[in-house]
Amino acid sequence: MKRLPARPLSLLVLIALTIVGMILNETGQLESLKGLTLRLTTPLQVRLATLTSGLSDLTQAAQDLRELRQRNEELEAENARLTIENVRLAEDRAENERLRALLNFTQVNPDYDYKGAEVRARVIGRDPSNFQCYLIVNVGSEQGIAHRMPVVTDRGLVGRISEVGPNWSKVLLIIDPSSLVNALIQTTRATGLVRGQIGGDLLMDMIPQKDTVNKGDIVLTSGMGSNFPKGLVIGQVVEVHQRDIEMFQRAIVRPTVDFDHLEDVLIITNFQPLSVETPEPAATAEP
Amino acid sequence: MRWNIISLYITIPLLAAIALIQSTALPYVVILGVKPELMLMVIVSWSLLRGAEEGMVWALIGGVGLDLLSGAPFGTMTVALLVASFLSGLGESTVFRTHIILPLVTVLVASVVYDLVILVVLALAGRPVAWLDSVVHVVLPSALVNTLLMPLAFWPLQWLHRRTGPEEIHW
Repeated sequence: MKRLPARPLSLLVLIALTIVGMILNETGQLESLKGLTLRLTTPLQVRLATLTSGLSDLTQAAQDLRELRQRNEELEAENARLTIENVRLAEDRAENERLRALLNFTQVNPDYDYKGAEVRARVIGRDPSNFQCYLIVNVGSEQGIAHRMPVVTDRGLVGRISEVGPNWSKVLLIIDPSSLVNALIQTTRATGLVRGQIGGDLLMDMIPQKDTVNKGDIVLTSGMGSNFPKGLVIGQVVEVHQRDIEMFQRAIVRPTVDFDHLEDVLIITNFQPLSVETPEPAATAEP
Repeated sequence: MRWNIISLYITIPLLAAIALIQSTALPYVVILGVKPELMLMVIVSWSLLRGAEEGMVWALIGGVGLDLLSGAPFGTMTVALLVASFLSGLGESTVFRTHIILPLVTVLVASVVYDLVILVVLALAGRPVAWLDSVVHVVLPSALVNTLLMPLAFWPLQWLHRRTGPEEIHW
């Protein structure tokens, strides 16, 4: 008789043992052995499970960290982008409000042509001297700007063009000591001459003694002398100097325009000032 | 004269930048009601460090830069800076010229002279000048502000002077 090879025999034996074990398990003969085995292995399992779990957590943490770092970078980039966008939107909103105010001004005063100009103070700037009050704006003769054109904002009179270049102009502000503007008090129609003063306030001089001037009165351009259009707001009276022994009254006027924070101005391009005017600095660079 | 043509490549852009800063940024830095006069501080510092001759070249270039940006008659700032530079250059020969006290005293005097020269030129040009108001509200505060801020201009220029100037013996 031919003998079975060793390996298949081992297989058969093992299968047979397994079948026996299955039968014993089904009949409940293995319960005590199973209980003893589990009792011995459970602590080991717990430790192993803890260790495995820890390793798993560590792996997961490393993965999370990598993802969090990446996410953080994305959020930081997003935050930077939103911050920039927010700044730009805030700037746009501020510009929108300024332009809307200027638009309202042009609608209320439709008699004049306006050429929008942006004060170039942040690029070219203001007068470097402490004695002079000029601005440089970014429009000039190429944009139709000419000498002595009035410059305004929605808040009132700014000044007039004193010097014109191809694409820039200098604006003599009404707060400059060399500026003179014919003015009147809105309520009483008292006339006078407004000149700039060191310190930024305005002095309304040459007000006849018979006229009434009160603190809080609004001062407008009178249109006399034809240097400026009539009715532009100059400022508000904050102080009145009236002495009987003097021929004229004087008033300190606070300008309505905030000259320290001018960003946009309007230039009235269709106003023709008279050629003969009160003394003012000569324009030197008009093309 | 220690001046050389290579220095112009540094001087002109430097002074042009200072003129632009004085015209654009410094109007927003108002102290005691006045703007700091950076160009004056620079010219005074350089005149002290290098002498009146070189200081006046700087004054000429810087003054033209300011005049181009100013509504004052052209040349007003240049004349004022030249005078201030000349006076400051007198201090060059003193042993204290690199000590901070001398620049402070010099800029105090130079600032008053500088502003008064501007007022005189404006008056000569027919501009209305309120002398008392100008002195009280501009000239004196300006001298004080320029003096207080002088170290900010002097120290960097002192460094530049040491980098570009001749060898010196320090006592």
